[in-house]
Amino acid sequence: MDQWPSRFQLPMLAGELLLVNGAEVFRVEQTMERMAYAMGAERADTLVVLSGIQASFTVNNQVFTYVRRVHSRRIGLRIIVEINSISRHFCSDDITFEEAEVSLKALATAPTHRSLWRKALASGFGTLSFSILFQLQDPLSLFYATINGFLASFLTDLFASWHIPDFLSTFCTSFCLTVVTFLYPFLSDGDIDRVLLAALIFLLPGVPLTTSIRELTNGDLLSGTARLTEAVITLITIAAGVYTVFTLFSWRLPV
Amino acid sequence: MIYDFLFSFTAVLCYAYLFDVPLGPSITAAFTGSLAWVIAQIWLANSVFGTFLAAFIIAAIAYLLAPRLHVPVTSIIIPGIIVLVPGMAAYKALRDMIDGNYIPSIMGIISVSAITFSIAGGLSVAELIMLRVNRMIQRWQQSRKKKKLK
Repeated sequence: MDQWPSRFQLPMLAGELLLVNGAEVFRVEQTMERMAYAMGAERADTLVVLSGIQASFTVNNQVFTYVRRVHSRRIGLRIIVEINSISRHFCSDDITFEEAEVSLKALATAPTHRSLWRKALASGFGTLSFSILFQLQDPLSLFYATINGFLASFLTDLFASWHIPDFLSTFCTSFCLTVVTFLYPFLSDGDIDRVLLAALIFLLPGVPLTTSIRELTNGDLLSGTARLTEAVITLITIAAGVYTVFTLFSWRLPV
Repeated sequence: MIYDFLFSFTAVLCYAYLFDVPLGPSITAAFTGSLAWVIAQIWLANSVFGTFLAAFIIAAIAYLLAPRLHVPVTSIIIPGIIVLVPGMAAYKALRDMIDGNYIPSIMGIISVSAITFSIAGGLSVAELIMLRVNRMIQRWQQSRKKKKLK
């Protein structure tokens, strides 16, 4: 009986990892409750909001309550997929408690992001594909668009390593991208818009937007609204970065 | 059209890599994303309805395939939805605002939010329908197993 308090750290760890890596709130609650019931809890109640987890588990009329605070979130869909499979195997008794604990702790310390270069390369190719979809045909413009894609990923990582707040780093990235686009030599005026836009797609808050829609549909109004606000503020920040440079460089703008 | 399909495929694949999605769901996402892009291009005249349909198809395929691939639905939807985001229209609205053309800019913002809400609508309608469809499929498979046992 003495080990229950430490054993219930397992669903707490799983929930914290899910929340940190950007899972939806109902997924976090469901995973934690399932794991707790599989461990033998008689009752499990979880309350998850974006900034933290509160949970209480009942065993033999004893109540264990835990609170975890989550300060920052990021995008790590791979970790969500892996925790999903760990919890599924754990609930169907395919793996033991110790195995689940070891693999969860390994996930907690694993590096979340791939190498800077590969990310930048992927961002560059993604931007190239997008600029082709936006009907950009000039090879020079396509090359500039790819460079912009590289830069977008690099700058985001750079500002993140300086521990600049998220919204400010988005502003700085979109500011720098717009300045660089204006400085490209021999770029025809008609292509400026699309060269810039393809790289800005990288900054768009697609993940919070989709997650907030799914949460709102599920009835998690609190966290759904919070994420929606995050997405809207990010959009406004991107627009502000572009706007600032446009007003400074208004002589360079094509009419 | 083939170029559209191909390059939206690579675009979604690259973004799936950036979001750190495993290979299996990211290829599924790339297929659904390029399908959605082609559908949105066909319905370009009525972009709100086209986007709704495209988002619906992305989410429907994601809900059908995610339980079979043993991955969360989000890992397919999030990269797939990237191609539908109305970046061009939003950018044009911003440009209009800078040039001082406030009325076209506000019209643009309204159409951008309409498209965004149609993405949201497509996702939620697909979720409501597909959860029931998945349950029906499960029930059907279980009844077939029972018949075999008999």
